[in-house]
Amino acid sequence: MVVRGQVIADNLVEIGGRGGELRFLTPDANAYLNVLPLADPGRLRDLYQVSFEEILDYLQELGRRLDFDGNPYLQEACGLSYLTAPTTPPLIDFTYRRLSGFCTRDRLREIAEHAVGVEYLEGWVPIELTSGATVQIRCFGSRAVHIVAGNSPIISLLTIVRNALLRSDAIIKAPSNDPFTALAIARTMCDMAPDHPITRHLAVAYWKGGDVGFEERLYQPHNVEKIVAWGGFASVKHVTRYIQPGLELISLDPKRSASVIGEQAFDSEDEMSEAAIRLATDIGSVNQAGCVNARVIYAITGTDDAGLAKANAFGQLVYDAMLGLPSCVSTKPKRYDLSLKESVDAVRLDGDWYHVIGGRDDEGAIIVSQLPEPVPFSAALNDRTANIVPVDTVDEVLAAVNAWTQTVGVYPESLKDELKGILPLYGAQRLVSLGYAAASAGSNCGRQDAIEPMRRMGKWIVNEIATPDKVPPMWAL
Amino acid sequence: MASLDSQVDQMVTDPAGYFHRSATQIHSISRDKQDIMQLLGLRLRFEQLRDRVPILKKLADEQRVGEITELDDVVPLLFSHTVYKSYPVSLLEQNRFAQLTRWLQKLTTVDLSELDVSGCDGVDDWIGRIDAHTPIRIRTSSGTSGQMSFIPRTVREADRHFYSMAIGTCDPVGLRVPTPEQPLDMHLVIPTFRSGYSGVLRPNDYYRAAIAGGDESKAHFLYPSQQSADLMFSPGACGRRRP
Repeated sequence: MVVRGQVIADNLVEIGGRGGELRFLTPDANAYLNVLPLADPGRLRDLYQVSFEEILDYLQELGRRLDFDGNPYLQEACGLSYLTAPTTPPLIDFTYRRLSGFCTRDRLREIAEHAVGVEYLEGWVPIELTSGATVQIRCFGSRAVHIVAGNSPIISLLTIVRNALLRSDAIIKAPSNDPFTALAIARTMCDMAPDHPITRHLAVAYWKGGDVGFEERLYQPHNVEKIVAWGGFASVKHVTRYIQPGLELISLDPKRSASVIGEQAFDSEDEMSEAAIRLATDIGSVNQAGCVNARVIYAITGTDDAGLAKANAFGQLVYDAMLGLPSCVSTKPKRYDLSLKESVDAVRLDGDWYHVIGGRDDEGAIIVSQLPEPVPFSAALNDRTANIVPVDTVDEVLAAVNAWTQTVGVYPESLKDELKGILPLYGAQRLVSLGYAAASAGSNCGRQDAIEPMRRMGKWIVNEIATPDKVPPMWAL
Repeated sequence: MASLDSQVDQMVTDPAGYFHRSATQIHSISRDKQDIMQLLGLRLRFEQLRDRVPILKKLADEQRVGEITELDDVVPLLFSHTVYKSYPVSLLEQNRFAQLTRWLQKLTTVDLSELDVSGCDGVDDWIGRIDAHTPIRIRTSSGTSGQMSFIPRTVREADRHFYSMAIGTCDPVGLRVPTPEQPLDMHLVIPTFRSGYSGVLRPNDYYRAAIAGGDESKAHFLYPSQQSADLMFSPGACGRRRP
């Protein structure tokens, strides 16, 4: 546990990590309930002695120290993550080695500028109103609990970066499938600048999610103003019980992603191969552990015999391409989901409605529907298992997009241009060029799940200035 | 004493009769004999059914199981629950019961090719039609996950199952074990629906016959009606639409 610059290793309790391969000790969060939250919000003042450029200096230096080969905390966290993460060692290694590069100055400035606006972070931005009044607007930091997801280590770093850029105070609740990354970064910060305000406004702790006795006491408006919750349906639903006036939920809740392959992709072998490698990347990257990964793919091949033949041939290309992805991008899954395997095997046996390619060796599978309908278990697709659904028209795709749809990868780009005005109406939240679903690593200008989490993590304060000579006063009416 | 083969045949065909409806006899069989009887019984069943149940044949081919030489050989042939719901959901949602019947055919030896399901307007209607015209008595799952399982058990299988289970329920507590010919004559209290097609409710017909002796005045249910499979399937739509 790290609390505001101090590493704590007392009052240890034993915890079982996700996947059951590792048990670890962590300080009992109950014993630190009084120091975890920033009780006096006035203590955020020290962050306002630091300029934006100095914040960038800090994060840039942090990035330098997150160089994997020189950072024993990251090396240790990476090794332990092999046992808890949903992905495999080559993928974990690759992500850990990318952490350092996330903190480049230009990128950090880009995030702050496009997600919030640096001038709103640095001072009061004036607006002259027609009423004659002037308003000044400034984005202040807030105190938040971040219940982060553990499907990628980058989420912990992203949270720390966002917190620093916003001059906020963060308590990170480490996830059971990645209890180590946020802690390793926080320890690096403690070594680097233990008394720096950015270090002093970060706490990282682990407690078992759903510990109502503990959470009820921590999640109070006098402790925190916001809860940023990533995660699955049950965990986000659980957090809603604590929401009350004065305590806001920023919900990065469960999402599914889809793809649309236009009929042009089936015009030539070259086009088909291009679409196949792109789609394989969207399915296979990070072993499909992300919400951004493609799972159900609508292919506008038509549903007559010729159309199904195209879809089946395309499925084979996608499967072959998936197996050929670089090992830092995709590997055989860590542990193929047993109940998913039962479902895949069952439709393989039936044979009439679904054509299953691969999957016998737990390596992942491409299931091509032989009717314009996803498999009954489409919500459970995981571990490099995707479902290609042939359709006749793009309208059938729209019916499948809903509030749970996050990323939609489209090929070719011209089809995306056609769809970009319509898909959002149905719920799609992010449109990407096919093959780039997992490429942006959370820095897509601060938009995420069709909300602006960074803007919402700040507090937007307005200072209204009116004088009787410019604004007719109510007292004189 | 009858030959081993004929004993196996009797145990597989009429297990309750083979053990003379006695829990003591069931539990008195020696381990060696039990092992060989089970192995021979499974081998007999596999030989009888392999080429008659299409899904079994495909599974056996897929798993490269050509014959049962030891008990563990049967493990890869056990159907997972997903096999009973591997049809596209739209077949139910759009009342495409002819196609659903063709799907069901792959799980049973009963010939369904002559069954007319035209005009069926729901799951209850479809299962009712199958009840009326075939020896299959489908048992459904609750359907609350969004997909409803259909297990095509025949009347013979259901009889065999119920009257075998009755031995374990009745005999150890000193009750006479009922048979179709000699039911008990007791009051029956079941705090749920009178009937239904789910795996939980299907045995109610047996309880009424075997325990209450078919006397309706002795059969007491919380709800005197049949539970609708259509109703059970529809809330599953919420499950189907969740991420």
